[in-house]
Amino acid sequence: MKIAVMSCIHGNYEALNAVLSDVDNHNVDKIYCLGDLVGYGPHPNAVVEMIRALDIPTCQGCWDEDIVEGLNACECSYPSVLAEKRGKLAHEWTNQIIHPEVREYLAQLPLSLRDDNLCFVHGSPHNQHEYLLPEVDAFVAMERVLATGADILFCGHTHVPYVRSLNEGQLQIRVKSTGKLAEDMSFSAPLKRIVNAGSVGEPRHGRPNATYVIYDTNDDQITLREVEYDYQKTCAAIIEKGLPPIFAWRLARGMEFAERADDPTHVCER
Amino acid sequence: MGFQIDLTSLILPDQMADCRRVAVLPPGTRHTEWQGWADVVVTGVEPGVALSQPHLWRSVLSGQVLDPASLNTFWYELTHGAYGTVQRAKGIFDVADGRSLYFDFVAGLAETTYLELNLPLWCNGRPDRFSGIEVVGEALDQEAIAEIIKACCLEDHVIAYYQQQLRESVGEGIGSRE
Ligand SMILES: [Zn+2]
Ligand SMILES: [Zn+2]
Repeated sequence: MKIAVMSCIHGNYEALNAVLSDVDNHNVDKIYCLGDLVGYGPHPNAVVEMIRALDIPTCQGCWDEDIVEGLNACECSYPSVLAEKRGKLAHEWTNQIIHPEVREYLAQLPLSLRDDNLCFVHGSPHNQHEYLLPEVDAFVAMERVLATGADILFCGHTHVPYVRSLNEGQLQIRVKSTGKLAEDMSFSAPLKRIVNAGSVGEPRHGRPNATYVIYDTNDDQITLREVEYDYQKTCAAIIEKGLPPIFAWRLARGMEFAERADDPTHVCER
Repeated sequence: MGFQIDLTSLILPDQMADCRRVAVLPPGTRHTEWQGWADVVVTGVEPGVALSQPHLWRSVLSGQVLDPASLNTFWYELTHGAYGTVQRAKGIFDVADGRSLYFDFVAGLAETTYLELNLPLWCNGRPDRFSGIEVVGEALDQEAIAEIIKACCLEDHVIAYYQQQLRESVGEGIGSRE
């Protein structure tokens, strides 16, 4: 079976369409979406309608949550004062134009999805706002995968795709609780993988192209896909709809607008 | 000196009478007021970006304290054409950790990072020293530039918070040397 996994569409309808056509060309059996359907881009309603029309199982992203709950992102989500101000502008704009039924749909999205030995989340199994960057400490990364009980953890949120294999190894831990002697434990962890699907609508890999992944369960192959699309159309729509023009400038260069934690090891406490 | 300077305004002090006027001009510059003004003309390098209608935009920022990460984003966007074609940009900025930083950009030359000016760390209130920015370019979106700079500036309570930390760390530094 072939499974396509996409994330972080961020209201970019053109990019979503291009990715869906690419998926069509690859005889994919099933599509999963890791959230962030809205935010920054000019077509949040159209994106959600498309995902719903195709009945794509989707988990809730950080932006989807914020549109439902009000801005809730911990300051750690923003690398700078400027990024935070831009994020707020995008949030207010999206909040105003989003249809009530779209908001309802975003509100009921699950935080994670399971399919056999695969788990799908937006940021990390702990939190939609947590960044599982490729350089995250191997022990922390392993803990996140083990917490799900799955063999492959699919995530998004960082907007840069990657595949990380956590090879089987022996883990030694020492548990020390107050009033008790430290207890040494060791266990062996099997091969686990973290697959980041990148971003359909707001890439941050230096090119404007959309990214997503295809996982083939038959041969256990993971393919990172990079899809060209008419990003100029999205840029024009950003300006036409009155979003900050700098969003269009950054989109055309494959530079994300705001979302990035400076400290990859920072664990969001929210 | 930039093209915007009125040569008749350049009056040298008497005590500096024993000097020569030097103009650095782009290659191929002929018959301009500069040749008449200067004693020596030095041919500089070709500008990386030729402007048909050069425009100068500047703003004094004294008293403002900027968030360094925001400043980096702004400077990258400015010097990569997000707000119009930029041939030259210079700035002196006070940042949250008390330093005064000098940024200098020349289109076509290797990218430079900022320089830390040899000035004391400012850790009490809004800095009472010069900071500002000057941009030479074409089709500059001045309003957007001004707006972004404003968005990079920190509010009083944030400045106070950083300066409190700064005073504590400077205080510790003195203590440990004793
Ligand atoms: Zn996202
Ligand atoms: Zn996200």
